[in-house]
Amino acid sequence: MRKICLPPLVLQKIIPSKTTDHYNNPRNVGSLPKNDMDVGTGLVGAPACGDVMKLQIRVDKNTNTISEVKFKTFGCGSAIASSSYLTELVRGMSLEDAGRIRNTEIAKELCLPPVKLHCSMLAEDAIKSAIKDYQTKSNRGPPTLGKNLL
Amino acid sequence: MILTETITRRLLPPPLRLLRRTYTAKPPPPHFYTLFPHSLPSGPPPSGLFNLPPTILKSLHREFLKSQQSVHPDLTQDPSLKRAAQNTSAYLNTAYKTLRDPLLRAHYLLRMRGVEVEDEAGSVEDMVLLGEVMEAMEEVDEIGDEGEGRGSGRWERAWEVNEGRIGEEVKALEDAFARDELEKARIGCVRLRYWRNVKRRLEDVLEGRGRGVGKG
Repeated sequence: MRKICLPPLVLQKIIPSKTTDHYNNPRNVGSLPKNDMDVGTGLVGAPACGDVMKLQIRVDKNTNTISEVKFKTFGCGSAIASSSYLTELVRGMSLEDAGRIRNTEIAKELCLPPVKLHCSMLAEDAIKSAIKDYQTKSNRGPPTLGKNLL
Repeated sequence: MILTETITRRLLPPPLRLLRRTYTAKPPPPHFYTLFPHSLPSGPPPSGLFNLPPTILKSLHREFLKSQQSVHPDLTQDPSLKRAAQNTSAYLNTAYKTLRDPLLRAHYLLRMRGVEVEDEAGSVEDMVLLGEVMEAMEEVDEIGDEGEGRGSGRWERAWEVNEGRIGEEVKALEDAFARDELEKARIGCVRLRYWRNVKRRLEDVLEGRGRGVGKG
């Protein structure tokens, strides 16, 4: 007896194409040397799926913009698509703008269903923690930190 | 009225009488552990053990099959009874599948106590764990990229290391449930879930390699 399977084509029609595109051809997959002073690394995880996501940014010191961005995500398709889309979004952005990205932007762009919203939240967390990592690492005494110390 | 009831009672085989009596009145679903009184007499931890050794798992399987036989939907033609039987059968399936697997069992036990493991908004705080998981996943990918033939010794080593991690987490869960430390158990669930994902990825690599060999 043959098992009847749902053909992949039908599935592809159900899921919005942008998500599948980013899932099938993820952009900017890889790593940056994490010990470089101009590289910030964000490592986040979601207990709901057991996903883990690493997002790395290289920051141009003069313009304070993101010049290079790489990610590695081990998780479900929505998490991969969210991080892939995010890398395209933040490249060339200033740190300030990148830090203001909301997960809803990602979810809306990829048409994520409500049960997959946490995947876009993970991507938001990832860029935030990458920026934070860069700031603590490169400056070791940026104006904000000085203010905190006072 | 009374007459019809007596007749149906007489005509129905014993398990279905039980079914009508027990399940059509829609009682609250019984505790998963109480469905298998023979295999799990002491119930859930802390009174019973969290870990189920192979002998108990075997007995659980036998008891599950026996119960499924007695509530099989094909035993009746009555549509309402059939539906009830289907529900019961599905419920038994869920109960068995949940109790059989340490991770699902732990999730269930925590949920019964009002602790939600799969909190959608939650994030993992343990950076050491995330780093280890990332490293393990990257290694699996490297093993996969090395392709067939080569790296199989490396796969075996990675598999053994990961099985060791899974064993440790299950043991930690056992301790946590024995002491009724629910927060510890919740963290254990998250960790176990990650190592299970690594395991699945290792299996995927092996399967991918198997297919490659088949093609060649």
